[in-house]
Amino acid sequence: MSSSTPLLAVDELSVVFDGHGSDEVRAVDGVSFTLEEGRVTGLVGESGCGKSVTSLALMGLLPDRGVRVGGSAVMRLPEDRVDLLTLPQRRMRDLRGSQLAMIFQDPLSSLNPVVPIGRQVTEILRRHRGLRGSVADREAADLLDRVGIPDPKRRLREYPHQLSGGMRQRALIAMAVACRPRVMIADEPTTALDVTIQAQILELLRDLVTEEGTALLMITHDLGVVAGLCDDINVLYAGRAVETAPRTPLFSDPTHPYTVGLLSSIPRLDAPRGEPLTPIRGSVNDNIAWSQGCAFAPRCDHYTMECLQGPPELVAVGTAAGVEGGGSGGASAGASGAGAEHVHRCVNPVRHADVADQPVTESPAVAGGDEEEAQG
Amino acid sequence: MPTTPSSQNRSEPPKAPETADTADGRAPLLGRKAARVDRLAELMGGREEGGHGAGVWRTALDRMRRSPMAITGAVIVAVFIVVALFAPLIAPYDPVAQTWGAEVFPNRSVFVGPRAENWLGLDNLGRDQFSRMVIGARQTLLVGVVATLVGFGVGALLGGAAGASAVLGGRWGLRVDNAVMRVIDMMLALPTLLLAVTVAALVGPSLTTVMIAVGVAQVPIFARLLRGAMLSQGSRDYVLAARALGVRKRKIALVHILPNSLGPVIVQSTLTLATAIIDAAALSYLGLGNPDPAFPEWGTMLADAQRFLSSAPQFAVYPALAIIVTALGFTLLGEAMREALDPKLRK
Amino acid sequence: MSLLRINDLKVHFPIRRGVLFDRTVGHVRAVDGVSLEIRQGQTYGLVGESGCGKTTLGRAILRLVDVTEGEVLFDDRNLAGLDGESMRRERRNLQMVFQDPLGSLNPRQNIGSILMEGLQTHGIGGPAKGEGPTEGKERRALVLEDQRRRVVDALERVGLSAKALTRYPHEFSGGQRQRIGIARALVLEPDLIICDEPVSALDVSIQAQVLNLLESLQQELGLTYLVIAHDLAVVRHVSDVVGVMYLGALVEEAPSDDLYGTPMHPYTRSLMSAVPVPDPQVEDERERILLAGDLPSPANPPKGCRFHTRCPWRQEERCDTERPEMRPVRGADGSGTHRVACHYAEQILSGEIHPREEMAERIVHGAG
Repeated sequence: MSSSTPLLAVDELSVVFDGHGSDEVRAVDGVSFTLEEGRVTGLVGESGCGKSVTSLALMGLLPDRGVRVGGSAVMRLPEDRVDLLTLPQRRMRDLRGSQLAMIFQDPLSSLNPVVPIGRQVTEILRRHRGLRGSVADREAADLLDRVGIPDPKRRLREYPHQLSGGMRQRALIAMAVACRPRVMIADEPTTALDVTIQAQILELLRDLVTEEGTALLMITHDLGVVAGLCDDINVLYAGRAVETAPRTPLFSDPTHPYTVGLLSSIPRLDAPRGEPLTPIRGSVNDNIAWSQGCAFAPRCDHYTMECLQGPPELVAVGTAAGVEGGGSGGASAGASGAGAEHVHRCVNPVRHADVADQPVTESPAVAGGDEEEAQG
Repeated sequence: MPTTPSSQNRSEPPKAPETADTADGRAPLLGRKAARVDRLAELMGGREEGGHGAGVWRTALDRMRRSPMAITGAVIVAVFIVVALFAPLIAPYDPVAQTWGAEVFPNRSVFVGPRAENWLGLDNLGRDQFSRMVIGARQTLLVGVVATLVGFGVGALLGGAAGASAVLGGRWGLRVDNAVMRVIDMMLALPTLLLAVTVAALVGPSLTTVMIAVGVAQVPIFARLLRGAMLSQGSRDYVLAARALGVRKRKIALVHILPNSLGPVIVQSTLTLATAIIDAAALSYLGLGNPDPAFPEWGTMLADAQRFLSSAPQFAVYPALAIIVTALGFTLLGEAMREALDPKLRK
Repeated sequence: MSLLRINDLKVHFPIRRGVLFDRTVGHVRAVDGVSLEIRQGQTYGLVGESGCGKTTLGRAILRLVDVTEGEVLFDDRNLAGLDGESMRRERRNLQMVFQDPLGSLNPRQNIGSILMEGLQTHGIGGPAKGEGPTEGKERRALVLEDQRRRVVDALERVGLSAKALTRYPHEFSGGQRQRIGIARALVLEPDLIICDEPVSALDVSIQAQVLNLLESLQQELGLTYLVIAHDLAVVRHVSDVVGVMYLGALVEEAPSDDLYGTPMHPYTRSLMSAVPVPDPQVEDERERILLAGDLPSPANPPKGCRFHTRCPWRQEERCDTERPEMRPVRGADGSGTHRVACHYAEQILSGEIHPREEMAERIVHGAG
């Protein structure tokens, strides 16, 4: 990693939606991470953890009304540095497409159905790179070729519905990389695709990162995808990062009970068959406000009284953790060095020596416990 | 364990641990654990929700109560209906009696405007305008409701039959559906007013004519709407689930598909009431309505008013305003209902 | 003992065109000649990508779609040949769990009425024939009470309480709704439950809850499952025997361990190599066979082997012209329970035939 400032530093990002008449919703509640050239940063979590809202906030795509965005997201541009969250709409529009690009989950609804693929690609080339006429056409065909669309000249004249799901996602990626953006955000780019097509798309993204040096923010719920693609991983729960680590320690020594729970609740192709799954109890609806304690506590097999005394801090793994205002621990760990360190937000993390026996004595529900027991 | 009896829907705090721990017999741990669980319960509490389940209509009603659009519409509609129902009690005078005939001279452009005894003034024959408007509301409501009922009844029957046979009838069902829908398409191809004029020409001008004409014109709209809704509901998984359960086709159509398809149709009927009122007024205006002056009707009043448009524009303004406001009321109510019932439009 | 046997099942959907008279201009061969056998108490897993016909196959067994050709033998009765009314009555023995937990529950019915419906439809419940009052109010009350008891029992089996009875589907979380869907199937005490993508619409942490529930129900009640899913890891976890479908036909079938240990069909191999594993070390060292191109249209499937257009091991002539039948091969244990539809399965396994580089990229991620 370079010693200079990161390409994009997101610090304490928060997004609050005004509730219509009811309570406001803190969709993202202080998330910090950094993006570097040629690296893939992952945001992992289940529905409602705030991962998609984070990407929309960075792209400036959240609605103007009814939303409050806090924190900062400082991006290093060739000439200066800008905070994406406070940039005026005009500048943001120029930045999107040229410096920032996004790939969505559903390629069909992200493409204009009545405009041929070619026109949609050349439109971007015209707007951001000033290419016109046959030059733009040639460049567009090149782009489609680069993302692995066979017979690109013919494809340029086709409409989105004439392409298969995988081809559409490729076309969308071609549009995203058209202006060689320095930061690319992929929000569940392969969730709607079949596994064999998913493998093709992941390979393509990996090539883009290694060859072009693009910084990729990968948003997904699939831990398998994360393990293969991401360099640094942030596990999100209820709007906050609960564990952040480079991928090797995250998968070999997960410390937050949520990460541990996620990993042991998915069947793995490479594990011996017949190994029972250990689900996480309850559903994401069973949480408490972060301000009061750990949001994961109601579903956790490890929670202690201290978990319920206040918001747990993000601390380096191995240091004694405490709740905010409780005194101990390094509160700054999360903000600065998220790229390299292994940090977690937990006062009673899983220690690997006792993973095997701990849940039996400590858990309120038996290992195979189900959703309802957390609720009542 | 899956067999543990337990409550659901986060209405209660966790309570599982006690049994797990008494077996351990470790008292201090037990005490600590109990405190912990209590604390968790306390934090998760306060988010309790209503005890009994609420159906789709009830939640829609709750939502409508908070919508200013729905309230405005409901108030207008309510006032209109009350006025129409109790018209004879509200109207201060006989609407046909030319009580003040001596005060009005249309030839010389002498009209009487609003005054203490006649709130909206007198019409060209010296009748109390306010009483005529009030009694007219009654006619208008009658036309609107009957026309809508005709359209709803016939349309829903045709559309329902077509939809049900298309969803569940197999090959023959598709043919039935095809035949019915071609007929409906032909009806749809005729302009509403032209259709109404044709009916009126056949039966002769009367209130019944207007009601039938306006109603018939609405039939294809209702039929298509219900059929479309039934087709889309028919492809939903819960219909497949009912079939997999072995439920009889007739019961699936009546218990599952139809109730879930009625939402848009009911919304449409409120909107149709508005158009029916306007169409009825238009037909009356064209002279196809009730020729009997004993029953004042807003459309007829509007038609009569045009003779005096330059000298007494208020004759046209009152019925026109009444028609617009009433139609608006029904439209607002219908739109609010649509919004409340359609989860996609929820904010 | 086999509970369900399918012989050469075909489901073709006509493609119709025309304004007044519908002409059939072709067929989508959603299921095109599938034979398989599910044993009592077993779980049969059916995997394949979208459009391979696995969902249609599941629905064809229940006759929710019209069967074009073939037999579905359930307890030696041919379901494909039953008339509508007999099939309707037969459905209490075969139930289905759907992918979309919310969509498969009628939003206007409360849970009690959803669960009661099956019992009422089939007239289940109440005192046995010849016992107790035979008709009238008294009997109806007894029947209702018995049905209610069965419903509460099914709810508790899936981990919900009787409190749920008066609530509506939208008041539950995704996992709870899927439990309700399972309870609806359970309450009829069926022999076979077809689970169509039972967990793919659920959050990762909830998936395991539902999988464990299905498993424990099987142990308690001796159920037989047909699990249809696109997720190979899920299918492997729950299944005893796994069949892999491609473009309307089975291409490989074997006991779970055997299939995942030594996949023999080129499609199975590439499918398995494409599944990401949540372990960076495995991911880095794993060899991937990236297939080129997309699934061909089932309305116009390729001649010969259906997979030959994408197969990296394709051989001249034979693969393009002759459609391979499912044939038993000597599996890892030599039992002959491993069936595969590939002319060259043995040669591919032994390494005699090499994959062609231009058809597929084989990527090994090294340390760099």
